[in-house]
Amino acid sequence: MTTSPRPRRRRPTRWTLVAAVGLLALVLAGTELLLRVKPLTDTAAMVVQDLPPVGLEPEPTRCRRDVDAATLERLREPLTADTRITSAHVYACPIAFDGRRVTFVGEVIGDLIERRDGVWVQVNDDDYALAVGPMGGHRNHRGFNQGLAVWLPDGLHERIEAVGGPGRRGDVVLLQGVLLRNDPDDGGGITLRADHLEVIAPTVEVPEPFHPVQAVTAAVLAVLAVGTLAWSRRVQRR
Amino acid sequence: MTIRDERQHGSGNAARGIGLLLVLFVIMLAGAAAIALAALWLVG
Amino acid sequence: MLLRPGADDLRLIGYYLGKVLLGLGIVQVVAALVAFGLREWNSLSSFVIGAALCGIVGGASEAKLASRQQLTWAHGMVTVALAWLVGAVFAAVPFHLSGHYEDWLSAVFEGMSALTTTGLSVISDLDHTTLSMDFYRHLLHFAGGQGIIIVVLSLFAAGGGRIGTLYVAEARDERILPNFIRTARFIFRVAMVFLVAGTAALFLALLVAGFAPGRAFYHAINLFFAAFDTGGFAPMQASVAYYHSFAVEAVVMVLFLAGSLTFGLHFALWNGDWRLVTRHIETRTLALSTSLLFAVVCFGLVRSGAYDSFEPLIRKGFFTLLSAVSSAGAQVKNGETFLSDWGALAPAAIVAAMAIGGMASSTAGGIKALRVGIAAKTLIHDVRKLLNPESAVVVTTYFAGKRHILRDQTARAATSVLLLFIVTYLIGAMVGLTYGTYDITQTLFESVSAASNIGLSIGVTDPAMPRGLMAVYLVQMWLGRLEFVAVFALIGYAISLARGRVSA
Repeated sequence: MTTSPRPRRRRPTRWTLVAAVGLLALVLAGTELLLRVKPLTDTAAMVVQDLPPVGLEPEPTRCRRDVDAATLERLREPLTADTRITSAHVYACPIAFDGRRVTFVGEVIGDLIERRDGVWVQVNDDDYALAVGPMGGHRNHRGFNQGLAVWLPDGLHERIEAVGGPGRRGDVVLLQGVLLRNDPDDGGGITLRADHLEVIAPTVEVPEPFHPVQAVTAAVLAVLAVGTLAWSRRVQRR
Repeated sequence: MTIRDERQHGSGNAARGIGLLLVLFVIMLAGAAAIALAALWLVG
Repeated sequence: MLLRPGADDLRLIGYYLGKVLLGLGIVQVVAALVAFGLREWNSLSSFVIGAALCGIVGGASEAKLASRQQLTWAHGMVTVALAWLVGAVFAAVPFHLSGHYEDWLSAVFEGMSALTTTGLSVISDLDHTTLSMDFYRHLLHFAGGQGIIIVVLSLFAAGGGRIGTLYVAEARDERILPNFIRTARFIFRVAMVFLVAGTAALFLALLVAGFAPGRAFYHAINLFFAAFDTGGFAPMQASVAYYHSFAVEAVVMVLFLAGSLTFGLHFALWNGDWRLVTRHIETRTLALSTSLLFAVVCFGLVRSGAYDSFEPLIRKGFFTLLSAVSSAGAQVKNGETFLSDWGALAPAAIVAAMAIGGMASSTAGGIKALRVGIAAKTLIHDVRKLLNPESAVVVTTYFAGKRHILRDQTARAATSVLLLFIVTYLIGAMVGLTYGTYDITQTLFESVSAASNIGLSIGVTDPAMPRGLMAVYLVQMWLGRLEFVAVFALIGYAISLARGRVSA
């Protein structure tokens, strides 16, 4: 590598780099195109109707553990048993909600984790749960999932028909219970220990519509790939 | 590890490896427990 | 040492990159099979497209770029540096097609995060994603963790000598067994044994925790990949807090430990050589630093009133610290609550643990215990020299497999990389601050998490985060995984490539 490359050899180098960049652009453009032509479902039907309004300030106040008493008082003031809270508010300032009786609405998701005298369940109150429904069928990005861990004692969970998962928006439930920021039964986790549950919106199946263009593209590329690999084996053997 | 080591021991025994790892874990957890208890006693 | 790359050098690099892509293609085929079994048709087609692209590019490289040129250290470095980048881009294809990522940058970010076993995620609506796509995320941890290159070595390698150079570049500076191929195979064997034992243990723990058998298996295998490869993704957005089970948390912690041990120590354990483990500089450094930092965590948590009993200190406090030390990044708390619920001291200790990192030659990230230990010994050495008469010869040693003398060169290499990491942490933190919406605690935490490939998030990493910051973290994850050396070789290569064309 101590001799400088001769002029006529530089062309293949340049071409290789151009080809690489071109390939990248093709892959980028190709996947974008496939996404654009993806069949989508209508999300208008996914909005959960008649939810109790959130009884707190629109933007959660973030606090620290050394928050001053005045702020704490201000945050706790509107909290009654019927005040609907959101998980975003809780995580922004757990200490304000600790030990208070609250109302919480969200989609039951993942698994009903059965223990001896009750059930743990994750209840999400993000937009995928309450407004636009599961992704895959739409391209309405609304950030991460967010919700609370809920403890349902004494058979409360039996009212739940189904939990959310791929292609399914699970039961939307209204819960009432005590919020704990240091739940001893959860090794110190933030949980809602519910004692009242009602299903306010049933499970909705939202299967992702089949994407025929993508399937055809996959088939074509697969054939090309097998061909390329077969050709490559032959070239190598020579 | 030298070639001699490898010839003597081969690649070792998986069960023994996992067993010793668990011992290491228990020691670690015990240490953590001690520190946690000390903190609670001193500060709590 | 400025290289002047010619066409032949690029061909060689392209050839090995092609092999890496073929390995990635296999990973995507596995995901496709899972999608097929679960009848997730769109996911299936997206994996097939990804695998096909890998096959086409990889196959073409193999055919057209084969060369008899000898692979040198420089080639190895550049190949490794590019492998993660190229891998991340091709791994991103199924992600982007799934529709769960806002744009291409997010998909590539996820791919880089997966392969570098970082675990910072920008996926939208993880809780509703198809099972095969979620599995694919975790499988990428496994592929990246064992080192795409090691997989390639074991499966496709023909000759032993040629590829030896690649191994050294792969940020692993140990040679357990004299033959590189056999070392790679031992690493793979350890991974397989833990895969079976770890998944089984998690499966049982999840059954006990109240999961149905099918779901327990699904979560077990995903959690295994994330824990053993110290990745940090989790099947649900709530991460390990989702399970509400100390049994699960305990098995996960054992896997964190297994994943953060250097393979040389695994070899020692498998041969019953306990003393080798206890005398190792990295074991001692980590034992000391983790103990001190956990003491600080406990002090901080109890003092601020966050927790006042034993169980949370272990299940939340120690778990998070171990997650940071091992660079796993699985969480038992919502990230935002590090700030809003833990006080200031405990998160600071977590940041320190993330910065120190785990052991070298493992899937852990950070500065690495070996360097921290060597840096500490260097300081002690200098103090001793100062205190001794000028004519005295002061020799400091450290134990890493066998007793080594601490030489100036080693000391300097360790402290240089340590410095580079710290500079990277600070640059990432500063960039975060320029957006005006985050404070220093958040940006420093996240920057250290990205550059050390940890994956704990304080809430800055988010599908809607500023794209400039996302790009910065992406580069940091890449730099951290390669521990800078390979990336600098790549930059040097690119510069001489450009210069070479202009000068003649």
